[in-house]
Amino acid sequence: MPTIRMRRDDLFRIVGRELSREELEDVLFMLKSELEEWGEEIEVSVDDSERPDLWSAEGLGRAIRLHLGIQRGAPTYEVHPSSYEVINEKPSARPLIVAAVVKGVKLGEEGLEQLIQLQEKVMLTYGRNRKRIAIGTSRADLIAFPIRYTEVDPESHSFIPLHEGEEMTLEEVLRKTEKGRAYAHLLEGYRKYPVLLDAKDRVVTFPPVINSNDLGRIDENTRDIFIDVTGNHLPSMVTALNVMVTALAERGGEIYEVRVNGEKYPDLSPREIVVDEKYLRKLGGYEGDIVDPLERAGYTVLSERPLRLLYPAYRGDIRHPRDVLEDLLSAANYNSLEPLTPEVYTRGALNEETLLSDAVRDLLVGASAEEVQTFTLTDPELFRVLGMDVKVTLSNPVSRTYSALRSSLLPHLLRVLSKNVMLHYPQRIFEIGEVYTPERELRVAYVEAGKEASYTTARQVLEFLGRKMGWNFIFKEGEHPLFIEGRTAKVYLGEEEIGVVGEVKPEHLERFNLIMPVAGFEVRLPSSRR
Amino acid sequence: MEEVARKLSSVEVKVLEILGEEFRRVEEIARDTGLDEAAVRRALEYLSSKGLAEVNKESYTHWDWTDQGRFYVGNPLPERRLLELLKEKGEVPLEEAKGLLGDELAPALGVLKKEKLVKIEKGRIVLLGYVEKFPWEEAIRTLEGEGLDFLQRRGLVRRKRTTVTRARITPLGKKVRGIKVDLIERLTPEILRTGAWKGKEFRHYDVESPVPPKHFGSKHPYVEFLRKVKEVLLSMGFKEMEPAPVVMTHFWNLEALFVPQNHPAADLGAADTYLVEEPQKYMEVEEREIYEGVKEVHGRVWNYRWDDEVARRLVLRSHCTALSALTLRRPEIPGKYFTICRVYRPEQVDAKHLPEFNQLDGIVLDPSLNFRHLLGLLKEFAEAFVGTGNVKFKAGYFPFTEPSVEMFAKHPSLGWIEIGGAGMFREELLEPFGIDVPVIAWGLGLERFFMTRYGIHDIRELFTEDLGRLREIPKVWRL
Repeated sequence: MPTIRMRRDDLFRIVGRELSREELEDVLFMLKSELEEWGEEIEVSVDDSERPDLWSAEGLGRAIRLHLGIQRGAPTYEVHPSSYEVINEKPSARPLIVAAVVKGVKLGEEGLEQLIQLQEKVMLTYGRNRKRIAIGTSRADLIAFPIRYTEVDPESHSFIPLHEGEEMTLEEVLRKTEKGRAYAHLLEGYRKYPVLLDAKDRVVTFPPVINSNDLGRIDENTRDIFIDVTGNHLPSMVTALNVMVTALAERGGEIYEVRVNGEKYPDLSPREIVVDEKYLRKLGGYEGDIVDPLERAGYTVLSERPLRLLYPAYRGDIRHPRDVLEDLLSAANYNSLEPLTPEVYTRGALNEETLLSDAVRDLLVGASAEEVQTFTLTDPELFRVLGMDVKVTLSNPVSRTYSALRSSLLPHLLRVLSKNVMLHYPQRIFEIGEVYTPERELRVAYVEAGKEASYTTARQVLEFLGRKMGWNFIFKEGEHPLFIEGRTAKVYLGEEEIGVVGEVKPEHLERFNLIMPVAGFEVRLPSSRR
Repeated sequence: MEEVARKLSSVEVKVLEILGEEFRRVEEIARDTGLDEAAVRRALEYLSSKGLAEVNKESYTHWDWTDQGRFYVGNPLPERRLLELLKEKGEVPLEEAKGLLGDELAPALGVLKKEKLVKIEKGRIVLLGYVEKFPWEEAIRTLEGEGLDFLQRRGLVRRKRTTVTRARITPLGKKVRGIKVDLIERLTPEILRTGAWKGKEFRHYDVESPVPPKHFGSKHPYVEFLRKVKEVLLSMGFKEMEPAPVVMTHFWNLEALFVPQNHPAADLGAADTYLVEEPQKYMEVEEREIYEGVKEVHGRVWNYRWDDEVARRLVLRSHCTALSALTLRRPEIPGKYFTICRVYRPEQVDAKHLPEFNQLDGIVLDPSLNFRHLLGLLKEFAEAFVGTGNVKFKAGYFPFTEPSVEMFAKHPSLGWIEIGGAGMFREELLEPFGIDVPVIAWGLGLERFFMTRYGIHDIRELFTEDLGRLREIPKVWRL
């Protein structure tokens, strides 16, 4: 979720009045946002990754202005006709482009900071780190129109990338600049790279990587800005463009259309949605006024019956009456709605595994064992040194310690014993938990360490468990990597093998620094296999 | 003198018996007699005041770990973690390192910068040199050798003053020890059978002295806490969802919840989900009808190219709502369901992050439900789990719910804390399941309540393998 910084007085200037800290916090709460820092500069985290229109002082200020009722209904914007043109030759790497020109912007330092921040956040989050959307901003006054959006050989065109000192080919940009290295993967596998060339064949932008230093360097005094949005998903590109130009309009910018292969952008006319008022009232449990909160959420109410609404073109997230419901209720303020206790009658119940685990836990606690809980993630090496293996491993582990799912509980219990050698003996511990073999199984394992620990003592505990649970275990001589040969039994329930009991081999004890005999068992809880 | 001998308590007798001409340490005496150390000290005080034993106390200072330092005996120091990370990757963006090391980043950077092994350049940490082992890495384990002062400045070790108590027997003590008194020391079946106790006195115990602690069976405090949480849900008429394997398709983890593939909500995207390597990376989704339905809705609403490979990818579930999605296959209506389930995130482990933890999630399905019921339910939870009805709601965002809400509750000691999130499942999500009644979905984090209540500051303690620590945590007998 994006975190945005801005100057407090700049935000309040856009809102149209000052707010106290508490007032601001309350408004932000209903805009899915939280105030993180309060001072000359403020920081706000915006939860909604589908609302790029809130990711700048301009956009947030506009939303607050609406919420407070300083401005009402869907904001409208005039788009001036113009002769600006982009010819899209559909580069294969990112075949779509939309664009606009904004003139007469008074950026200043604040505006410039906001522009850069908004552009970056939109590309990163909404644009999937430039994969779906890349945004270029350039000097409209220096560009010779029409612009050609085309693809070229990596070596054929050179330009000075933004903030670099020397001219480079596109291929060099990918290799030599920081941004180039960061985004080169998006062009991997393409023989030609997308580029915006102006009428004088100069590089304006090399999307999704970097702007030209000559034509694309915006500073606080820049008045006329050309914005291009390239990518492969038109609906979100259109939203991104609308978000950018309407933010600049908050700083006095006049918006001019750009024709892309005959299509005019940006289209800022408000969109219409028709909603059944009964639907809003029923699902919202809402009895209050509908018009006022909707207006404060940025809707224009065209008619009440039926409820016909207009919403601004920078809202790409409104697809369904549900979206209107949320805007209505949050503008009305969740905290002013009276909570209702659900009266739906249902009978509560625990699932079989919980009941089974409870019973086994009670019995083992009665057998004087202490319950432990270890991670289900494990280190395959721990299993390997014990002559065992894991069945489910991970492709992207952060560390080897947690790079597989355990296939057995006993290795973890031995590790627990090894970490408690300074405590008194006997020690009896158990764990109930999932293992993956690779199928999921719910198991219980128990070990005891002490002078008296033996096959017999471990089996006594297991048989106690079996007796109380009505499980008639059958023991058959068997083998297990953990246990001493001849002191290991496989545990059967009917025909089915469900576990093992035995005395731990001294070589393993030595490895775990244990100088006490250890015996134990591990069995699957019957009827828990899935 | 016989009077003195008769008045000795059984602990005093035991201690007196074991004392010799040479001074012996209290710890040894306790070990050899099987008595509690504090009991031995008390007995020695009494014996010394009666002139039977001579007690000598000497103090000295030595190195010891601080609480924080003790953690690093078995775990790598922050600088080692960072250094190994850099050794593997060469350089790491500061943001990423912050994410991986958390609170440990600052000390790690401090040390490595001072040792001139790293530098920070354009927001990245760059490796300049590598050291196999710092001298203080040995010192933190052994409390010996070079680097202890350095560790002390970092608050990991400290100088500790310890007093050693030794004792030996006095000539008077020896004489008293030799006196036979006719007292019953230990009541045995033999004495009871023969009636030999009749007319005799019992040796007095020092009943006020401590007895050695003994540990018996006990439930794991966090497991027990979760069990109490289940009881609360049960009392509200919730049914526990059926368990499901943590290995599931990406489809059930995300797409089935109407989250488009590669959604920007970072903590839901593949970068924050563990991917399964073995035994297989992909699995078909069995429920073909639901699968095709979800795919169709995604195409229609989100308007993007669906990738079957992504949907079939096996992952470890990253949130419990995935279990709610599975429950939507065959729900009872009206129905109330909950689950406490284990979820997995590829995070570097530190005091605030675990690679796996538990979440509490649930759904309610009924034709009569509206958004205010959701608020009411959340308020009930705040009352049950935090003990307060003082809550406030924030508009929230979850890709699967609309409207969405986050709840904050006024905790008696922590102030306003976030309790959890909730919302009404989107109709687009419910459509492929053929569900046409409102469904409330909610999720709460549990670790925080538990930790606050039991004064636990390090989340790693929930899975501690230190039995001593587990024994310290009081019985969880109510929420």
